[in-house]
Amino acid sequence: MMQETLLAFEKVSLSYGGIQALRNITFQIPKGEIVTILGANGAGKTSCLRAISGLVPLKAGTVRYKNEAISAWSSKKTHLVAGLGIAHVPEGRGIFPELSIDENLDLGAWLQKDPQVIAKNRERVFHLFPRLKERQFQAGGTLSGGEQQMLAIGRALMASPELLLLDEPSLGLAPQIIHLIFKIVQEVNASGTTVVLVEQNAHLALQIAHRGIVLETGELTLVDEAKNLLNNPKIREAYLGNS
Amino acid sequence: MSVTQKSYFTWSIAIFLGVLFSEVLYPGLNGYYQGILMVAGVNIMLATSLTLINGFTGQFSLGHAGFMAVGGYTCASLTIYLLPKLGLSPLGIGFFYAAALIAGGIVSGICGYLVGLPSLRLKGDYLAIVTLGFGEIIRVIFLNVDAIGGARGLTGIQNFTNQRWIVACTLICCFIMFRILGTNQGRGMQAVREDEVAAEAMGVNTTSTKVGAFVMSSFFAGVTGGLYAHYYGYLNPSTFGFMKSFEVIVIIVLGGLGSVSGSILAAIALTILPEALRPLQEITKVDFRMILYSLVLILFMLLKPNGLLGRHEISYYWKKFRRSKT
Repeated sequence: MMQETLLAFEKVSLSYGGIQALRNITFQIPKGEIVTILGANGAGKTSCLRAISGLVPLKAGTVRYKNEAISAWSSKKTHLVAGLGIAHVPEGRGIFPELSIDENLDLGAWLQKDPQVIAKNRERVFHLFPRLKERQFQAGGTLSGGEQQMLAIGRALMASPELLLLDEPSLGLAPQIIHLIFKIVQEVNASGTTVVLVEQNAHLALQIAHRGIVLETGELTLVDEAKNLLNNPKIREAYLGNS
Repeated sequence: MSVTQKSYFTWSIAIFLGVLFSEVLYPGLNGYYQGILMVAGVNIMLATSLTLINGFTGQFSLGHAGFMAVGGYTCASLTIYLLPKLGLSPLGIGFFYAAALIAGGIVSGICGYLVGLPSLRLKGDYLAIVTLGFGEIIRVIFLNVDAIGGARGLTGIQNFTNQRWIVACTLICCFIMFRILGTNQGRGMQAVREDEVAAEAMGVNTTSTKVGAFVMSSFFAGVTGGLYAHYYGYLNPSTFGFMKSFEVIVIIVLGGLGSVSGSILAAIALTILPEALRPLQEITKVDFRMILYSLVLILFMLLKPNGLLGRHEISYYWKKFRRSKT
């Protein structure tokens, strides 16, 4: 592999109480790619993202970001991980419902001190999602599901992240909106941001991703290029719904 | 006008009104009304400072009276035991009093830090119980320490607090609370209230934000305690029971959790209401006041469940009103 590795899992295990969510997972995420994590419910997709941003402590193993073992100091210190340029869009979006869209975006730029950069990022977010500009002063909670997802992604982009973690952005959205959001994820990626995408909709995710990671009840079963996975009969049967 | 100019303008008006009130209006009133207004000032400070925790940061503290007691006793002990030994001029006494108020606030803030650090991992009801416990512990400690009066209460506190002190401290307290809202720190607090995980993912250190709000809030509760002590000239542990904390909670819920101007209005209204109902007692010959007071609270909550101003400041409604007219 020629590409530089941005993030690496080394024998990562993670458990919630007695339930083991991840077992001995090892994979690399190359810089500049879209990598999608696939798997059924409870396979450990979300746990992978939580392990990266330090929302849950690891049981064993290491998560390395730019060769630094962030898992050593990141457990329960998510705000420090955010400071490294890792933006996590949590499952269920996690927007701030009582705050206006503007304030939501401001909070996305919490660690960004340079007002010029903030203004530039805001411009970019409004360019990607013109909808948000129309509703700038409206409370986040009054947006539709799709708009909330746009806001969640937009807010994450305010931090000008190097690594964007998206947890099921298509959850509960109309197909049209999903296509729009995936198109934007591709645009964001094209401008240099590495994306880790957790998805139920494997077909769509593999179409925009460079690489896929397949998890099954907490174990890594397959890592391959997306187009190979799309043609892999086993994957087609298990996740794509046609043989 | 730009936003900053506008806020300078608003605050100059507020300061002007404060001076007008304390120098012209207040001396002309009779002692009864003066007393009510002083209590209103104290309540405004308590309410706005508690808004920081319960309103902005979304935590639930029931220990505000405890922090007030810590500040009150600290400040009063300083003026009783230390001040006479220094032999200061009247101006020096003024400065000493200001320093003692701040010292009371700082000690109270330290207590806030000590209570907040371990307990702010808790949420909602659980945090409420811990802070309630803290308030009671403080009360029982003061009840049993003889050097500061114990159950007899602390007497011999000089009446340093006049309307100028109250007005100045109230203005400073409100100013800081309003300003915090606009800062990055204030936004972080609101983010913690709305969604802790998302706030953390944005890089907000939720623990330090919560503890910071707690310390700030208990600091002002402490200063208020000092003012309170030197207004009445007497402190008794029973004043700082959990009913006192509840009083403040009622004020901020009624004013709208998360609205500084709402809690100011509610503090004034709820201080005046029991007194305004007094003439009724003379007509009916029975004290219906507390029944009516409670009824007003119940009706108000039924008709306006989000409180007087909801989560917005008064300027929001003013803008809305102006927009609807054009």
